[in-house]
Amino acid sequence: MTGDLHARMLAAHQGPDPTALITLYTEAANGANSLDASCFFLTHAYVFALEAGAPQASQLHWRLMQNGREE
Amino acid sequence: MTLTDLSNVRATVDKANGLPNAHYIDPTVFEEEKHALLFSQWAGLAVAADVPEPGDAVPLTFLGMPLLLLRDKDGTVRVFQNICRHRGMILVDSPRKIEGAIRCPYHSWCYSTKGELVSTPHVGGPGQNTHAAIRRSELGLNEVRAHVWRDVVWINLSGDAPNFEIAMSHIIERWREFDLPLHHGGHGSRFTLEVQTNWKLAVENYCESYHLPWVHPGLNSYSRLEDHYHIEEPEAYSGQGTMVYRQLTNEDGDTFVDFDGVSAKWNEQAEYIAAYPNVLLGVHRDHSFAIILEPKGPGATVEHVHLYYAQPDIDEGLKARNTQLWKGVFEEDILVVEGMQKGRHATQFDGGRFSPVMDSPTHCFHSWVAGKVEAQRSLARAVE
Repeated sequence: MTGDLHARMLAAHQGPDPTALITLYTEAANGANSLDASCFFLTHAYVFALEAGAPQASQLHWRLMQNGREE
Repeated sequence: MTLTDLSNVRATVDKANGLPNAHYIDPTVFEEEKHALLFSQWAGLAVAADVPEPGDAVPLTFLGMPLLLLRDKDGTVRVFQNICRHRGMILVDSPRKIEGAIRCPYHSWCYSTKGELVSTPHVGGPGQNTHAAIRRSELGLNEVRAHVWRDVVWINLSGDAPNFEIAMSHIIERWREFDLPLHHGGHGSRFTLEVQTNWKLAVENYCESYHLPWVHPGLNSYSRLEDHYHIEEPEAYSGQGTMVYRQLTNEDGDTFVDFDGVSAKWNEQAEYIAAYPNVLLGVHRDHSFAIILEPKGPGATVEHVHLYYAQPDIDEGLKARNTQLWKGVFEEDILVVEGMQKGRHATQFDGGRFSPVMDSPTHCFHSWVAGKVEAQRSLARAVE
């Protein structure tokens, strides 16, 4: 994860800004260099999407399911 | 160990004594009554109007227990214990809208507004959100039995009371005519009174008319003592009725709109009933109210008052006038309920004696209290 992404994540947590959290953790997942790291960040994106009732939740859930990380 | 002698409380009203002092001032008896009178019954917690929209959530503490009042996505009012099934963390710490799921602030386990556990992040290790030992279907929020009637959210914390419609069948039947949509009057139609008294004294004062000419002299001009009647349903409720209810008017002579279809019997009749244990209800042809007594301790109670109307778009000025009228009446009662509470520290007080003619609704309540407490004591003795 780049320092810039980390800084933006912290700012989003500070808000908190749920939309940004979903976007930024998805970005981190997409840029991760291992499946485990990717699913770690995807999990966070999914949880924040669930909490916010955001439409991304179903897609994020599907990605975690595909990798055997969700039920 | 028997805490108090209740042998004479359930005698006939002409011979009975009231409840002993300890039932008002002793923390051990308060704890005993918490279970016998409140957890095991259908107790009033809040009103559905507190959570008007789907997703609205209000954390409450009822007799020390953290609860979450919530209207789910389909509009059903639910009550949960306000804790995560993982580490018992408080889930919601201030009133807010649940947009999607309830996320525990500790490890982010998530629950739907229906209480289902829907996400357990990292429960099987980083990025592994499932584990065979964690069955989500078994780990939903602990739901409390709840029922909405007359907009009051009634809860049965012990989980073993008869169904609400059975437990409250007498009063439901008595007021069947008023089983109509109620519209909360809004922000100006709710107020709270913090009273330094045991919650039972608020019940006792509410359900008798004996005190009216002395404590509420403003009523004497049109509502005399002889215009009232007693209401008693042993083991369920007691109260009083009036035969001379007068509608409130404003400067233009406007009145509230009547509840649709309520019979002429109620043109000048109104009733005020204490639905045991802790809800005080009033019905009139054109408005109603509910008072939920929140016991805060042996000598402290918060009265949550809510006024309701037949239609949603009622004149604000008239509503404000009505709120002021009832607030004035209920404030007049504070002197006596707090005075009786102080009186319970007089060691020679024997629970008092009742007027056989005027105090039977109060005696009806005492008899119910004594019966429930004694039943619980018998049960405790049986398992010893």
